[in-house]
Amino acid sequence: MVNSVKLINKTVEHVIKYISEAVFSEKFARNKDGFLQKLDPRIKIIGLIILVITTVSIKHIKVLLFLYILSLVFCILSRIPLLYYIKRVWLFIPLFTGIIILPVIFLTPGHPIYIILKKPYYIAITYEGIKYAVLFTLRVATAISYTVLITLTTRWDEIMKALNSLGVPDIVITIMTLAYRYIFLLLNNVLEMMYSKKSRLCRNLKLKESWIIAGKSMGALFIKTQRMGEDIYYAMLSRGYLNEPRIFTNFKVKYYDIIFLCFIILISSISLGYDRLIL
Amino acid sequence: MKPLYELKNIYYQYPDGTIALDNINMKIYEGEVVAIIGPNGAGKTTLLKILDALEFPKKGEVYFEGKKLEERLLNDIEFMKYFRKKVGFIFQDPDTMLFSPTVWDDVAFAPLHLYDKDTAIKVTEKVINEMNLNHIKDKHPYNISGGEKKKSSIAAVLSITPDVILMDEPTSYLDPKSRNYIINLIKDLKSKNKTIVFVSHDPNLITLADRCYILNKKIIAEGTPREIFSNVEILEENNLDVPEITKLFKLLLDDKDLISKINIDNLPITVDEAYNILKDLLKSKT
Ligand SMILES: Nc1ncnc2c1ncn2[C@@H]1O[C@H](COP(=O)(O)OP(=O)(O)O)[C@@H](O)[C@H]1O
Ligand SMILES: [Mg+2]
Repeated sequence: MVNSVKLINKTVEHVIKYISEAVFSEKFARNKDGFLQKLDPRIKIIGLIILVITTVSIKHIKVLLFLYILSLVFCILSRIPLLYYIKRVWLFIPLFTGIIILPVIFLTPGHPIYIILKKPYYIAITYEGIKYAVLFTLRVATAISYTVLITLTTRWDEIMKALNSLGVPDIVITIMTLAYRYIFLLLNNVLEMMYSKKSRLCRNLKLKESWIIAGKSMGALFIKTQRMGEDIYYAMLSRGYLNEPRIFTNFKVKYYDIIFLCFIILISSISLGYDRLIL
Repeated sequence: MKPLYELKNIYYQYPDGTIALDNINMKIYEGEVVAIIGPNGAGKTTLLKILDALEFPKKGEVYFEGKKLEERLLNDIEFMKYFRKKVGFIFQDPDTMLFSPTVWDDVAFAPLHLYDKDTAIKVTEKVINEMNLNHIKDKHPYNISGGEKKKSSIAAVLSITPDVILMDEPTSYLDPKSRNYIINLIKDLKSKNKTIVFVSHDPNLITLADRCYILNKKIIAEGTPREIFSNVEILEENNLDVPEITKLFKLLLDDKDLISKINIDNLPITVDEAYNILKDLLKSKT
């Protein structure tokens, strides 16, 4: 019991630290030499979203594999460590797809591979079920891969500015910016609370006890974070913020961007054509 | 002289019903250093938010340079920019002020919103150099020490060289070295004739003020630091502290055997003052 509490604490701590450092420091987005980093953020977002849409429309594993590998190539060209990127994408996959996929594996009719039950119900893992599961997982993974590429290679302010200039209204941008900062604060407050609790309690708590304490702290945590969130908005206003993102670089579409966009459109058309007409 | 700020019968209540300020009347003049002292929950932070036109009083009026601060006026972009350049607010918790991916971006935030881009870059670089933040400017604010966070949040306000600086408990949670930094900073800003309004419990900081207000929802007392520190009952009633050196002299004066030997008009409130008194005393002995 004690160990399980420790394990949960350790894991939560690890995840929070990871998110705080990796996501919010925008380490890779600031490496201006990368393939995707060099692009105009608007073009990049449009291009990668085209790839996401293409990905979700594909019906064959071969084509999906090609698109997945292409995302890895983009990642390497953007100087993001491949393993880090793959981990980041696949970390979320089980959550998203597991729930949907598990029943499908058993319920899709077809050639049985492994029969689990014959009576009272016939339940078997089928070849078609597995195939569908793989297809679905790969599709989700590829779509997420491209989305993650946007966030890894673009600074948050630039994404906001780009979305703003692509027509997303100011108020939505402000809310998203505040939400982004709020999540960071919340994570930090959770972490701080875990540290301070650790230093106050010499003995380890049982799981039930620790849940009771967690429940109590939760309320305090949300009030604290809410007030801090409010103060962040005030601190922004106080320094001249006016519900409109401002960044140092001017967006400018270059040849490089046009070539990229043409390339993306070409890839999408070929993938879709091959998927629908030839396979 | 016309006051920079004039507050008339300010009343402020939060949406949940908490009354934070009640019938506040206050004048702040240009070039003045004003300390706001009061127990926790006294409404000090709320008062600073009103001075920075982030909150507006539910009743009463705030005048800044003779203009009434209200939401409508702040919605005027011209005035907003003028006011935000003129008044800087250093929040108590630097975490609320540091929300960008790097320290540099946080320092650049105000200039970017208030100046053109070239000027913004220039003033940001300038303040980063002046405050020796070069070694942390590319770091995420999450990864720096408490003292460095405070310094960065100060740089984020000083980057627009405001004439009026509001500081909320600038020395809370700081180590002695960073505390001294803040004390010297206030002295420096004072010598540049800036108007400073700060909230603090720290006696060493309060002695830097020209004038103090004791606040507890209402204004309890007003006066110079010396007047305030000699009013021991009020200080105790409001959970406030007196400088250690003042306590020492109070003890000495309360001692019947010594009272005839020490002959002073005022209790010292700084180490310098105490030093001079003791020096005179020891000299007269020999
Ligand atoms: N956002 C808020 N919502 C509701 N009540 C608040 C809020 N902020 C502060 N208060 C309450 O208003 C009172 C004054 O708060 P504050 O100005 O922060 O005091 P101080 O800075 O002197 O400690 C306190 O009772 C506090 O709990
Ligand atoms: Mg306060």
